[in-house]
Amino acid sequence: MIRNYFKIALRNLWKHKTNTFINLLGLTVAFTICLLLLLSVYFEFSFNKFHYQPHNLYRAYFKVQLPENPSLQPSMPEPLLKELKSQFPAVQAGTRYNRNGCEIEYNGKHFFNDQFAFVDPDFFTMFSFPLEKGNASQALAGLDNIVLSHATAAAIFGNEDPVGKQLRVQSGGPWKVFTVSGVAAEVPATSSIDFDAVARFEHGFTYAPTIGKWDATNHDVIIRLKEGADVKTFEKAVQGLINLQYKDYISDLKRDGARPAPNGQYMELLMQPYLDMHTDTSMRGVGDTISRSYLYMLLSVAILVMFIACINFVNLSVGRSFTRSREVGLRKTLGAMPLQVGMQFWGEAAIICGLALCISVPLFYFLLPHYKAIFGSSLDTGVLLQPGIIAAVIGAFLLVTVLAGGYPALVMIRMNAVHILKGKLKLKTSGGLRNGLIIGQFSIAILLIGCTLIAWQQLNFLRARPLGYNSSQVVSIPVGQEVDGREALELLRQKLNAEPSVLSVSGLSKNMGVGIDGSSYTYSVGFDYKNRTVTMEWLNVGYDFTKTMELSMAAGRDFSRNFTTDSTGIVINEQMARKMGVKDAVGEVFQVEELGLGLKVIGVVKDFNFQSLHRPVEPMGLVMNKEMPINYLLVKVRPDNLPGIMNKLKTTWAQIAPRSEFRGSFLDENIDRQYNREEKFTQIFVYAAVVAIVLSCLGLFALAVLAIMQRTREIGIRKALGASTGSIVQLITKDFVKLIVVAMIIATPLAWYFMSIWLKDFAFSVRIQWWWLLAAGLMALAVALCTIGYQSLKAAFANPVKSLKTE
Amino acid sequence: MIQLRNISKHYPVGFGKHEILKNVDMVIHEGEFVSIMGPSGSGKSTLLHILGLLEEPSEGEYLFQGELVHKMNDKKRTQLHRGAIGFVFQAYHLIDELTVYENIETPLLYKNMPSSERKSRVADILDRFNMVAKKDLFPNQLSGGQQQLVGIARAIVAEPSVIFADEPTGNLHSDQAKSIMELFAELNKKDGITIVQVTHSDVNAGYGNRVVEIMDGRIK
Repeated sequence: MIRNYFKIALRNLWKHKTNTFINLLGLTVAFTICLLLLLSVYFEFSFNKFHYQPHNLYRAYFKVQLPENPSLQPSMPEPLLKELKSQFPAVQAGTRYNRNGCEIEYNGKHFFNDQFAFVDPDFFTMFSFPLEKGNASQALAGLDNIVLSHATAAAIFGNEDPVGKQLRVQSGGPWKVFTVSGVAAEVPATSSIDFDAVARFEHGFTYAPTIGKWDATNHDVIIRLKEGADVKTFEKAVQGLINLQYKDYISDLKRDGARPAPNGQYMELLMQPYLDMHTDTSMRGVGDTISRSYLYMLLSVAILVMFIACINFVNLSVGRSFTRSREVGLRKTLGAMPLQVGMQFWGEAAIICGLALCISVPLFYFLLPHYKAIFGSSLDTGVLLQPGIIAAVIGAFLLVTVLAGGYPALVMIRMNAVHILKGKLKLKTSGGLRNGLIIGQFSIAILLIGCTLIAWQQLNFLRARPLGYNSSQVVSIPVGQEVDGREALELLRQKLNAEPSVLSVSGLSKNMGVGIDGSSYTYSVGFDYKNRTVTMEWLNVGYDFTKTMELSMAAGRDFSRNFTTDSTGIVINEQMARKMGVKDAVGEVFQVEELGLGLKVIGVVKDFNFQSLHRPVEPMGLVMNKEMPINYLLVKVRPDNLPGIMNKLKTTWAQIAPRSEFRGSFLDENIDRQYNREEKFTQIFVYAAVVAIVLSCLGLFALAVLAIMQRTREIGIRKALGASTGSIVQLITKDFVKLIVVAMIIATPLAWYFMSIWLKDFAFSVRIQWWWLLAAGLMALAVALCTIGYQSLKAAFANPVKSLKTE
Repeated sequence: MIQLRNISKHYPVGFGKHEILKNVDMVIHEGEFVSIMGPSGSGKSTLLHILGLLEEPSEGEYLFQGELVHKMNDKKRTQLHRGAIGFVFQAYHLIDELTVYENIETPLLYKNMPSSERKSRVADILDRFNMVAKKDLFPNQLSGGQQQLVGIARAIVAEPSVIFADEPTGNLHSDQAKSIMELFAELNKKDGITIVQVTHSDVNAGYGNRVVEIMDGRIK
């Protein structure tokens, strides 16, 4: 029996090659996209699950009721962990975590690593990072111990046994000697914390000045609660400690007009489940974070594409049921039960879907590297081979076959055998369900096209918007670990002094945009000004900063070598001046406790976007502070011969830092890079929209062929009665055009709604123009018309005698 | 074997109804070869469909093998289609995607017959109808007469007790028709299969042993 069905199914598929091809193509594309997207969503949601009892791991963060709005701050003060561990028995273990780049020297060879982690001794026992060599509980017992990752150990020591060997490490400070106490196995791809080397927290370059200070925060604290301990109870218990340690800060908050949280607190220490951290973008994470809504968006795209492919399948199967009906009726008279007929059609769906799945799995592996490159996913190839995933894929596969094959089977079962055999069966040329499904398909396609257009406009807007500084002529060079930023700046200035194509040289603590090194640095300072807490961001700069960046002064003057007191001067932006609320900001003095001195405002610089355009221009100050680093060197060059000057900079940099790589890049590249996420977002929409429209039109094409086939006689008669070609084309396309117009009406407000939400993420955004959305709809309509137009023209030009003869 | 009591069939048309069969009483005994004759639209096909359990009468009682048909559930009817009833159609109604052999085999598949028995049955039938050489051809590779031969082979392969034939020779030349009718007569005499056929042709009706004439939904 099964063999018989199988045979019929195969012969049928072969006989209707166009339909089979369209279904197979659609389902293969849909399955491949679903595999890629669903697996990457699964991958992102499985972060940190490999740890032992991961639900007991938490990262601490402060929720502060600032006067403007509540703020979540995951940076912790140095004494906190010690207090938590000693005062609260619910805390089983905990570690502080900070990281920096480092340079390792062994036997005269130098190695640069990006991930040097500073942690506490509990690190290897509270997390599941197994050690290949060494003892987890003792690995960080000694202050000068260092644990290397497998790859780092292999790079440095080769076949030698590293344990017990000494090496020298420099990371933002002097060279220190460490003893290797262990080698850790490769960190899983789904870990938020990644490391090349791990040492005690006390070695972190920010440690010494912050010992015992509750108001200096610069690292993460991750704790493991005892199994069964309630996190809410723990958070409540900690409140006393917070209220005690931050008494002054809380009273400042009250003075500045902050309103308490519903529970009456102004500042709370809360626990973020470590498992949720990777998908929580409400605050900075440890390692990369990815927005949950982005993942849900991927999920919906996958489902929408699958939906479109299924609609094609359903529409084509039902459309063809006319030709299949005789067979079904006959089978009924031969004694087939409805279930047997149903199974037969389900089986055909299963064969097509199975074939599609078989093609899509290798396709998945083929596309995976490209996908990873385009969307920056770190999806692991092994993920498909997990038993759970295989079961889920098979389950989803069966579900799709039921959805796609079920309805056509139902239609077949319901058919009246006698009517079919008498040839009386009337098949409606435009079923309500079919129309509904076409509307659904095109709504999705138009929605995606609309979203693409809007995201595209926004991206162009971000790129084209003047930022208030010259981004195309300025190269930014990350200083790296080998040399000190200030010294490097002086050296570079001297070496490029005589170079005619270099206009000026300066330095900066943070990069503008995102550089090749990918790192970021911010320094926020809060202090009291006229009995109000004022928060501003500080950029530490070298001389000639405004000249290099082509900033202009609104008032006062820039830093100058002619004034020896400029190390206690500050140049603020207009936004800060507005916030201060005084007529003339120049000459005002800020009393900053941390520095123990007053900073005098010497100038006001015109606002420029020193952050990404997600944020408005915030209060900012330029300082020349010896305590703050210079992490990036800025070189302004002449616009002619840019590649040549890049090479010149490279060779000059090699003289200053011979062991480091040159990672300079133009600021406009960096600015582009900071919209990578938006770019990816747009790209996903572009791909999804193209797939949606192509699949929808393939389905439409096949339906048009069917409709024309069923109306051949009608068309013939009309032609014989003198209908014009135009009127026949109109006759066929009219029905479809109506459906697409309805889809436009449905999709347009949806696209507008979703994209307004997305645009809220930006401080600077385009206004959605009605004609963009109209264009999206018209685009879909045009593509659809091209699809059916050809078929209807062919039908209209056909000789009527021929079509009438076929009856 | 078959007993119709006061059978009527009508469809609603607008506010009234369109009557197709009116108060039909009929008895068909086992082993009979009955021809139903009448002009177009007289209701003979509807009568045949009712007899073959494909349509239900609007009124009246129908006993098939002593059982009331309207009391049967779908499963029971399907059972009868699988075993007791065979159909032959004017347009043959073979499954285009299946070969001659597979077409004949299909009813046996629905009966869940074991593979070896199925094979021998189909082989017997092919042999009897001299179609062994054509068993792997598809219906569209056969002439009309040959297709109808396959249709009959398919109808009798499950060894039904009655065959309902709806103008079985309507699409055939007279020579082909003759051989088909001879085959029916043989099946009736040799195998004892009850046959009910609808036909326009007096020649064809002559093969049977009783003629039922129908006019405007009534038996004359």
